[in-house]
Amino acid sequence: MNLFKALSYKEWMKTRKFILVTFVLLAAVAVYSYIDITYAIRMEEAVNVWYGFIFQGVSVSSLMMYLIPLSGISMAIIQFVPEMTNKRLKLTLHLPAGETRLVSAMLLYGYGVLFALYFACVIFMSVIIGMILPSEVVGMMVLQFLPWITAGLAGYGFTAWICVEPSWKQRIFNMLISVGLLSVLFVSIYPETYSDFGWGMLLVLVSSFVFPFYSCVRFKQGIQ
Amino acid sequence: MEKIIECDKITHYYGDRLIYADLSFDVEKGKVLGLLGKNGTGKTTIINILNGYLKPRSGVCRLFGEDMNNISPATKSRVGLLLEGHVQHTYFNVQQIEKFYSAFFPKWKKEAYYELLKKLQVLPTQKISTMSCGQRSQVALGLLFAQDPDLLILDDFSMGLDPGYRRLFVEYLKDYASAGNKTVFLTSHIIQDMEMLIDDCMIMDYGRLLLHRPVKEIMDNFKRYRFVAPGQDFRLSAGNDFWSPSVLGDKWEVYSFLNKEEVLSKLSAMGVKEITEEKLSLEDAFIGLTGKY
Repeated sequence: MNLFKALSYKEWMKTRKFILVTFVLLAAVAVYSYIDITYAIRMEEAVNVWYGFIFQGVSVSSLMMYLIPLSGISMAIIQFVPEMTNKRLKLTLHLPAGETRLVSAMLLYGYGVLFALYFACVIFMSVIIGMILPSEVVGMMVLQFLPWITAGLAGYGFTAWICVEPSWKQRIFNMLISVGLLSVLFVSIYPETYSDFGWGMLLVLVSSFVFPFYSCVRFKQGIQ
Repeated sequence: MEKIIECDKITHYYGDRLIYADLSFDVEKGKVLGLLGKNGTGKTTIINILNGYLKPRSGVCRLFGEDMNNISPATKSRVGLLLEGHVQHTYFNVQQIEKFYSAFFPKWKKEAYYELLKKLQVLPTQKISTMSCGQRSQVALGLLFAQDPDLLILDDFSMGLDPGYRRLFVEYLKDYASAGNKTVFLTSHIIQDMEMLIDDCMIMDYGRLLLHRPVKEIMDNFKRYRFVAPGQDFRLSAGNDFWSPSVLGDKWEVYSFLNKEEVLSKLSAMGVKEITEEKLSLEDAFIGLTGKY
């Protein structure tokens, strides 16, 4: 039995509509950004637009700052709220496999899907923005997206942590910790802000993967 | 005989409220054991403890000899679990849920699932979320039969089912339990259903195990006795021999494991001249043992 494949089938049934909607939304925002930039070039001339991007830290697509993290949070809600409704997580944990492997597979499915969506979005945006802006601006755009993508992935893990937590008191604590850690990724939207903070982003990401296991153990112990 | 379930000195509290103190019991291979008790006596709690979904204050439970907190995947595949309310993954349809579970169990019997579902007026593409409680119960039961576990743990299997679905569930379960030396541990509020199904009976009271005996022994020996009070001052309290004595006007009723002669001998010392003996259903016996309130 391929555990990951078998569990992914379940997760896919829950999330497939959401994945399609998110894919369309990300594509729509990318196209919107393209239209917005071409319009700005026509109105303000290319040199001024380029200047904004290169020297003033203007974002190629500031909407992505909201859409990417929100998609991560929504993905976790769609995946884990049904698991906690009527405590269905018991059914999943009762499957004949180690509980750590079961939870890891569910989380890795979510991270994998989101990563694929974000990766496709970055490639698509690089291609269409590359048609109207120089590669330097495209590179800056990718750097600017990096903390937002990290926030999307980490937001997914932290929301899963909040959903799986059985006690409301602890859930509120989890929310506060999550907001605190995610806010680190929104200090500034300037493209180079996080170039020396790769380790920090990795730490936030790893925390978002590890924390849900703590609440899973609490769920297993029947804490209410 | 091999012990499939062992619970050893389980003590559990919810806050300050004692649920059990030193609860110990075991279930042997091939037995169908029914757990009966009033609401709040901890029936679901013991099922949660057994499956490792609740950590008791103290004590240990074992399934197939494995500690409840470290049940191996191989043992999990031998245990079929029905959660209270026939909870299932409702985002699947009839076909999809079978496909999902089949990937996990090597002994999966697809035909057992579809054979049971033939009785239902549902399409293979019907979503479980659109099914009635009775239909969902059959889907859950079909999945358990397809898994072909050695131990079935069913938490309040009759909850929300109409008499037809209850009967169907019980008949299939009875057939399953008797066919392959399977062990079943179940709880239900509908004691009539249990009477048709179980070999042994465990009756829980608040904070303790009241009784754990074969159903036949209870049905053969536990009787209700009625008599008229010999005088206005007559009083009878519950004790080792007499269970749940109650009075309406001057007419008394009391339950006992003693035979008629023994009861009459004890009551005649208090002035009672005549008693009538009544055979009980399991439900009556449950009321006799736990009281009406």
